[in-house]
Amino acid sequence: MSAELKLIQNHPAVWTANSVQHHQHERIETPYSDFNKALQGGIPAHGMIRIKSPFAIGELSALISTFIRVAKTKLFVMINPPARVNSAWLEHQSIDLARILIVTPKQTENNLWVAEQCLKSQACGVVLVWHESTDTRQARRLQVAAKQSTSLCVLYEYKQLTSHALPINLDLHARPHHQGINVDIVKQLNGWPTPALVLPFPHIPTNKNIHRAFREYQAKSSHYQPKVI
Amino acid sequence: MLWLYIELTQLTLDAWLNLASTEPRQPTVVYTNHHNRILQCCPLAQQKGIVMGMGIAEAVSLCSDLKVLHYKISEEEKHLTDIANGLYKLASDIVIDKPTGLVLRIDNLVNYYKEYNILWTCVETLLRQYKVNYNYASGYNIDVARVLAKAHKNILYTNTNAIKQALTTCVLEYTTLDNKTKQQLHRVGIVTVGDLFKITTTELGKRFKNDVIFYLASLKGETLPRYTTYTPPDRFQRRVEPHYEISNTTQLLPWLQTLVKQLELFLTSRNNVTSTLKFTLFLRDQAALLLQVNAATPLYRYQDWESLIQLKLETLVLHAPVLEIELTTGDIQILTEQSNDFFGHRHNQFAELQLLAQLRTKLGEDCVLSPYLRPDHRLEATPVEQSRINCTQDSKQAMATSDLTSQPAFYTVTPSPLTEHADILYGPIRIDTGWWDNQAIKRDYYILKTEQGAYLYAFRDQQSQWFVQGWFS
Repeated sequence: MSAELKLIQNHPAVWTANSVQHHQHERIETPYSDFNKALQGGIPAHGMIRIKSPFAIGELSALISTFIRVAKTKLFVMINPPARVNSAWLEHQSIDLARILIVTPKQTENNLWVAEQCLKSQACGVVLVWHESTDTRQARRLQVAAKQSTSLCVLYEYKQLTSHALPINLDLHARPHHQGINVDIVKQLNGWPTPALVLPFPHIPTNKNIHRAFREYQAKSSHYQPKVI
Repeated sequence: MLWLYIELTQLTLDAWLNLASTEPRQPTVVYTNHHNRILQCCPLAQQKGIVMGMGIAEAVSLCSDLKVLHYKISEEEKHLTDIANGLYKLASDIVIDKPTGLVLRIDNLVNYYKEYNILWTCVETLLRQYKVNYNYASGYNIDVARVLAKAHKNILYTNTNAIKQALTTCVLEYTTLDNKTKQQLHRVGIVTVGDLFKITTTELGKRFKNDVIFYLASLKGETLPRYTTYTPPDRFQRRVEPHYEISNTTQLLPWLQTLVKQLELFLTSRNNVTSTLKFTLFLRDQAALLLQVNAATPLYRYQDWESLIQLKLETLVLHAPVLEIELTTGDIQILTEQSNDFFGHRHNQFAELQLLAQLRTKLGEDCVLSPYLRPDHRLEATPVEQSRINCTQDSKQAMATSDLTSQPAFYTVTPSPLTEHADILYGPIRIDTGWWDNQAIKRDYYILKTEQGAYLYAFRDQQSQWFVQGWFS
């Protein structure tokens, strides 16, 4: 390689495919090890993520705990959610409800405007927006706004329209899976696409909590208690 | 004591010209039909040969495109009060001598300004901001200062002898003696105040009433006239009357701007903030329209309000043209240093409040909500969200003990019948509640999975009908 080319390579924005790991952006670990590995550590802490998915397969539950960690002490905004957001469910995700803001614009054209204002305001850590058919220019605006304010914008799309590539950090396609959800990494910045990763989590409640409570109670009490199997 | 009298000679005209500064000028006069007289006229009108005191017919015959403003004493007094409010920043003792005079006590102020000249420069600079025409003079009491100012002396006297000397040369026209007395004196050849001073008080007392004697004593400096000093109001209330009817909201903005800028001055001088602007738009042939702009945090600066007002105007529909605009504020609070930003997270909080104000103004109060938890197992009864600002933390309890793990992420208050094939994965969760408030619910909830892989929160009612109420997203 010539000396001049090497000089160009010193530029931080220029990278070669075999040196991806040298260009690490801040990552937030998810509870799924395979997924983290494919994403070089986790989801990006700022920028924009798109998740294309069928409705109600666990597309939000799978990553909500990670998003909450990204938001830290800042606002957690949900724009144009597909239905009413259940406060009890949010409470179960152990997030302070006062930090959550739910914005439901009457006109869908306003969804992206709200998202951009939220990102620009510096007050929001994570902005989840449910909006169909975002074009390249709009996605670029949101991506830039999110990067500048070091916040995360997550775009959910439910309609299975033929989608074009967007200039964003991470593009995911989700499919239902009996153990959790099945995710394809369609595109990621500084990384390779990875198909069919299973993000395992329980869709239905387990009796874990009840068992634990029983065990604690048993330990405290000296009386005879029926044994939990 | 030393008083400075400022006589504002053409308040109505000045106020109008200031508002119309960007428009092409037109000869303008202020006219009263009480005596059919022109009271104030602008330089352009003077060039056409119009002078003060002329009748309207004569004036119109001299100038065909004459703009005639009607003289209203209440309007003049309002402008005068505005200027008094401005001057209050410089002087504490201000007496409003209606309808056109402002009197400032300056002998006690000179301690703060070192010299009378410096004080006068400050006053002059302020008056220049208001773009008003005035005459001024100082005197050892209000009556003396008034006579000298009306005589267009335009000198700041500081020496009592100089004042007395200037006073003796003033003609009686400038005094506040009534016309009958002036005529009587004129007939016997008494023209100036000096002439009057030569006559002894006992002789005058034989011919004139007591008030004339008191006034003379006051001019001589033997007695002090009584006065009440002005205190600016605690509340802000300003009204502006555009020169044309406004039927387009974009035209409305500049007028609102001028009002908010005045408010900014009002608030900054008092170290106050407010979180609500109340614009009253007086419409033609219709009831006045109240336009309320709320900010999430108390503000005072115009630029903070600007975007909120713009957003509010975007949603405004005018059903009739606007004739007048009035601005009042909600509660005025004192700006404390503690409420200022100091740390980074404070900045966040401020940004948060600004964002909220922006969203609420653009989208409406009911579109920006914060989740809220109530101890009730009925999804329908959960008040879901409430307006963020009024969010209280009082009833965040109880629900924690119940089984939260089986709750869906999204739900609807109007359950829809189950139409597709689905398998039961979990349940039942029996809910039998609400018997106390006539919204009793007795249902068995299940978690279902459809063939497409969607997880539903559905219930079977007492008639064994299936309904979908939530989604495990």
